[in-house]
Amino acid sequence: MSSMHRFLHLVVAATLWLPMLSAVAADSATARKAGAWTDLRLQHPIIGDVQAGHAKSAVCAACHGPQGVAVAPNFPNLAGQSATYLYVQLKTFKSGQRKDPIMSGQTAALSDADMRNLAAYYAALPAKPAGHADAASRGGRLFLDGDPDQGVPPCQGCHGPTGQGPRVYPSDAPQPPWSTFPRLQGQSAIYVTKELGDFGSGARSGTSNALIMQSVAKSLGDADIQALSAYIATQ
Amino acid sequence: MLKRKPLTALLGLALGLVGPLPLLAQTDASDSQRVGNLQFGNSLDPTGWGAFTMPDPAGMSYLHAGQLRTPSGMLYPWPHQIPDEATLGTVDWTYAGLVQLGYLHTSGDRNDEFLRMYSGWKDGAALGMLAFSALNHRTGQYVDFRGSRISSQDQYYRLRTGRYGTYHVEAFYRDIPHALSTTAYPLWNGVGSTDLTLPNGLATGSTLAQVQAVEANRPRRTLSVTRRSEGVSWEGALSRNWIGYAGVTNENRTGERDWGGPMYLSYFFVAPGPGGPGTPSIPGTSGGQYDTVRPVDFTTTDVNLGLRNKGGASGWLFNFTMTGSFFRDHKSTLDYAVPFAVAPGSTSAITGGTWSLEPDNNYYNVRLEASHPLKLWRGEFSVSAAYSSMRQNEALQAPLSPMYCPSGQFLGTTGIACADWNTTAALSRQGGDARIDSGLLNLRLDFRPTAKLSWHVNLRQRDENNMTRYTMYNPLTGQYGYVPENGAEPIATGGQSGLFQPGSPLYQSNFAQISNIPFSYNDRKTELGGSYRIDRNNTLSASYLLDHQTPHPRERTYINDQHVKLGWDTRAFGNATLRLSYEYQKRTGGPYNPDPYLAAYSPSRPGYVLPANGYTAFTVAQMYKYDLSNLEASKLKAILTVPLGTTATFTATLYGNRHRYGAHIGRQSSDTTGADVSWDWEPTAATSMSVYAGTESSRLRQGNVNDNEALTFSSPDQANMQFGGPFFPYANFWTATDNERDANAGAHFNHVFSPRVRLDLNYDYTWSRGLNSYDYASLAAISTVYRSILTAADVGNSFPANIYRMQTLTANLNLALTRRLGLGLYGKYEFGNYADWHYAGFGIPADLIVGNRVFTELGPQPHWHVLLVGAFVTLKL
Repeated sequence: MSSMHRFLHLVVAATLWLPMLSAVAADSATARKAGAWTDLRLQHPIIGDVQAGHAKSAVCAACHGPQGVAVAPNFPNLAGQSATYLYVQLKTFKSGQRKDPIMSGQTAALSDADMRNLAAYYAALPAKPAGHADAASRGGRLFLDGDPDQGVPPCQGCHGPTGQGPRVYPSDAPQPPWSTFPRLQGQSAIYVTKELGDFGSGARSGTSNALIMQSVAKSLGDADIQALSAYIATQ
Repeated sequence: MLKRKPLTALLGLALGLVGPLPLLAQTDASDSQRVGNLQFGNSLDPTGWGAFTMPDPAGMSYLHAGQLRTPSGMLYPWPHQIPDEATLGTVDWTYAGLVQLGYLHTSGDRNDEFLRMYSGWKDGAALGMLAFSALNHRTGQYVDFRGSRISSQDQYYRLRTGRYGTYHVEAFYRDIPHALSTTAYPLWNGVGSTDLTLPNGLATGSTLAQVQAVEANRPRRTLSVTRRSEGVSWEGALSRNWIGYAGVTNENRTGERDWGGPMYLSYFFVAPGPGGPGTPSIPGTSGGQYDTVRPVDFTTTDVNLGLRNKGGASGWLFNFTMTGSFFRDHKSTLDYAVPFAVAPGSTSAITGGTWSLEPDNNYYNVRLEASHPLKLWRGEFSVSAAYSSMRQNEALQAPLSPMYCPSGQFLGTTGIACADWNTTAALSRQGGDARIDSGLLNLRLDFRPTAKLSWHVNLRQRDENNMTRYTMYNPLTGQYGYVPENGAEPIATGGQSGLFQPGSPLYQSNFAQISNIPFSYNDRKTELGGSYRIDRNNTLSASYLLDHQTPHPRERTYINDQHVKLGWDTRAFGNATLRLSYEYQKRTGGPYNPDPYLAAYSPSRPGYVLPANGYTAFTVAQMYKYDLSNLEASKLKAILTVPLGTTATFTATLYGNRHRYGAHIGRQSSDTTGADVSWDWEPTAATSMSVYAGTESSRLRQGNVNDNEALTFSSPDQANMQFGGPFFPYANFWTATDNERDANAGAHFNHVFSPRVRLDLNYDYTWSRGLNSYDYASLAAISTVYRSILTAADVGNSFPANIYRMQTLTANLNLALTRRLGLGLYGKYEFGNYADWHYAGFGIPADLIVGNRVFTELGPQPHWHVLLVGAFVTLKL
């Protein structure tokens, strides 16, 4: 019995001292992981002032074109793009979670309202006309069916069957943040190739959506990325 | 100790905390080993994953916030965090590991049977968890090891390695204890061996007082069996679509357990016992019953080999499996000496008995399963066929032991010579040569002609053929049958030998079993069923099953069991899901023959001479065995699942079944009614809580009739099998009702207070009450040997109730001191009470000797309190 008491006293002492010891302890895995990325899962669709956005768009047009269609293939088309997607990108450029030597600087002076307005403006522009993509090509099969053997999900699941944005379905289950998924149709092959590469290398990260794309991009080989980019460019 | 030190108990409970750092993620949830163990855990951590279950705030998916629900409306649990990994050698390999070492201490009633039933608790150091995993992210190769050790009887270790998509190898070792009694005082020496001998001071013919005096000083011991198992299995992709698998598992069960020891009846009470009227006397004048202890020393080796196709060779998917299971009993006999003489003053040679324990057994099975899609109505055809054979051919044992019935001696004055029965020369053959073969063929068609409608038809034929034939014939004497009760019955009765011999005036009219009864059957099941989705919220289903069985030799040549099932799944009540099912069963069959086994008994043999009064009725003609009697049954079950917001769920289940058997003699009815409710709440990854409660009551009612013992052997009426006749009069009718009520409840709470502190609290309550009551037409229903000493008031209407109640409070506190170092505190407080009238009157070891009966265990403690505390240091590797 006395040994039991001694043992319990040791337990008491250890317990009382533990908080002090642990006060200097490093954070656990939970703390380190929390906040490492922006959670877009509860992001609601944004609204903005199209006219105000138009007034702010002069600088943007230099690269993305006066009607939101890029002047060079290394820039993305913005016309018809999801407003929420555009807003989130501007925010992450500004916060540094997404890095680009041009865009980081361009967004530094933008207010939250500016970003909403610009996003709304470009979303309201007519998208680039549809092309004639070959659904039977390797890129088409990847986009429409994925490749289960490689663990590649079909792109159309989030980006829509024609790449024009997600096809929202009714459900009682928790819904994905559809408005944060971008329109891909008609983006240049050079741009898509670069972005998939950035996802795969981890250069583009920082949001829950980017974490999804990271694992998708890692499942794609170089040839698959080329094929997919070509297919999207012709959509 | 605990009762005297409540403060100690409370302190220990408050501190009974625990938990390791979260490290390794659960990786094998959907995996299964082809042979052997599926679940690795122990009493310290029943899940086996407690050290790794830190919920991941990232939730289930990056695609959506919140937890999804299952199709029936339950919330999926929060996923566990993926462990931190470190680089191992090359950049391709990463690893994670955890070791958790600590100390366990038990106080209070540490030897209580229920505490130790499946736990090897031991004061001292314990290995809470040793885990290591490594993964090559480039090649998909992995290694995973996990182990835990409470004591040498309670431990497990598992190693898994392989390459994802290519092969998987698994090996394991584990010990699981099973305590059967912690209050055993075996009278014999040699417990655990095949030879139980009497302790010094006792010999056959001892008096009650002498045996009690020796028993009073026998040491207490625990009777337990330890299951030690080890195995290895492999599964690999032979090509793109072909997968092979193989496994071998070996399980050894060693220890000892309560067993019997017949030496013929010793219940001829003639006067009230020491407890007064209504209690049996303990004269100990003949026979004897012995609660012996037998050894357990078994090995079962399972071998599994298979091949399956997952890619659809010519449209077919199939799986082919060969299985072998080999049981070996390394101690196949048990001899036991007896302290009491079979008959007082007798010069009988019988001084003990012998058992033939389980024979070695080989089991083989081949099975083929295949399926093929059909173009018609998006259908599928599937077939499975199997054939198995079970065989035993161990050397048979002599009917009597030469040690306790030595050559040269005779069984009392019966003239039966021990020498004629104590060697295997007394057997008609030397080996068992037993074999049961069975075949199975199942054909099924599934169709889905529209998105709303699906239906199926299933045909299943299973035949079992018992090919064992053994005739009990002693070539030394020319007699059929065997000497029962180790030779005690012929001595005690002065004549009932259980032997039959044509042409012998002494044995030619004996009713004796002379051969085995090879029970076999054929079973054909035909089922037609389907479901129809009325709309988005309602689905109806229905099926009809005809189960046609032709057992033989049995009381009926055939039975037809018909089942109609109806189901309704609906979400018409808001977000709630209600699943309602009803089943009606009706069984009919051919004419009932109450004695279809005559071919196995002496009256069927040439040379049998019917006694002047015939032979005693085998049983009452109206006795219907429950598996073959007419039956009407209905079952109803309702499951309601109500989502409460996005973080909680309420579930209620109500079920009941009613069985009405077409019998007055035999099982008459059985009913069960139960209900469960639960509430689960997962507001965040950091907190989860659940509360549950359930209750069930069941009632089993059966009837029987006491035979008119005054007519046995003395009147031709003894052969009359009719209920209401002279041998089974209505006045001798009685019924027995078994009422059981159970309840359970509990609450579980888990919370992560901060990244460094995690607390798990669990409370569980279990209660059951069993009452055996009875009714009877008159006191003639009571056996004549008791009737003289009992009145109706003595008999009453029930036995005392059996009660079992247990409450358990478990707490774990997990403290992370640094990223690598943690402290876990564990506490478990268990208390309960137990009452079973079978053990009534057993207070001290001497109480275990009652008349010519020797019992071994006092039974579980009526009340127990146990506190278990542990402290563990967790180091992340």
